[in-house]
Amino acid sequence: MSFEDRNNLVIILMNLVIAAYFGLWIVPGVLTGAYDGAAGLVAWAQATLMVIPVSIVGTIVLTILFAIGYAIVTHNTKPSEIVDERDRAIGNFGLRVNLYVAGAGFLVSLVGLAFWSWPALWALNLGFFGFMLGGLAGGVAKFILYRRG
Amino acid sequence: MARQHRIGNAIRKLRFEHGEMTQQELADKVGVTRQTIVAMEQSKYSPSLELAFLVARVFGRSVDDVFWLEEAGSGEGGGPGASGK
Repeated sequence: MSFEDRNNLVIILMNLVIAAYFGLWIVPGVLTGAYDGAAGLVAWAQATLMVIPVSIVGTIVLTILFAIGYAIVTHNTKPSEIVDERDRAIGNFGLRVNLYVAGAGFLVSLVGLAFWSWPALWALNLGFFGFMLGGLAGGVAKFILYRRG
Repeated sequence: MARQHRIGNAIRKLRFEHGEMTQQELADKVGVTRQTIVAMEQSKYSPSLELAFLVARVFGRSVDDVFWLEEAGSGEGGGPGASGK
């Protein structure tokens, strides 16, 4: 397993953690009206903003743990950290998938606001969900490409 | 749309002709991962021109001797130097 392949697994895992946070924490709050009104919107933004530092720290911790686990399982204490042209090509494809999905989420949220009179909070949630799903879709696309050759 | 052509190669054969060079050794010589060598050998990844030249140089051959164009799925067009040398 190459260095970028291993990193991609960590990113997929981190996206799943964010999805769980979003599904178990943010969405129930939206459904119960905890984020209604101007003050609610501030609380939603604060809860959502927490994702950024948590995901940065989580990614670092998971990367270290994964590297240790990989070294133990493969008995290779100095695994390769080379990033080559194939890694970059696969990375570019994953980024493209990520941007398509995230862009679609953002577009649907705008359409919902413009034509279906969605509350702003719904649109914001869908926009956030789009970015989260985009990250996950990009990671899964890279995972598949690494296995397909 | 499916690719109509793929890049065939003689890397595996040339590795064995060069002292049974391992995929990892070749990867180290050209600065890529072993997985990229595996993908190239299986014609699942088409290398850049730069990487193709580097691989050919390791074996002391021309790019044309190591890589060739073949029809996808048919395995035709294969063989070193088959492109009109």
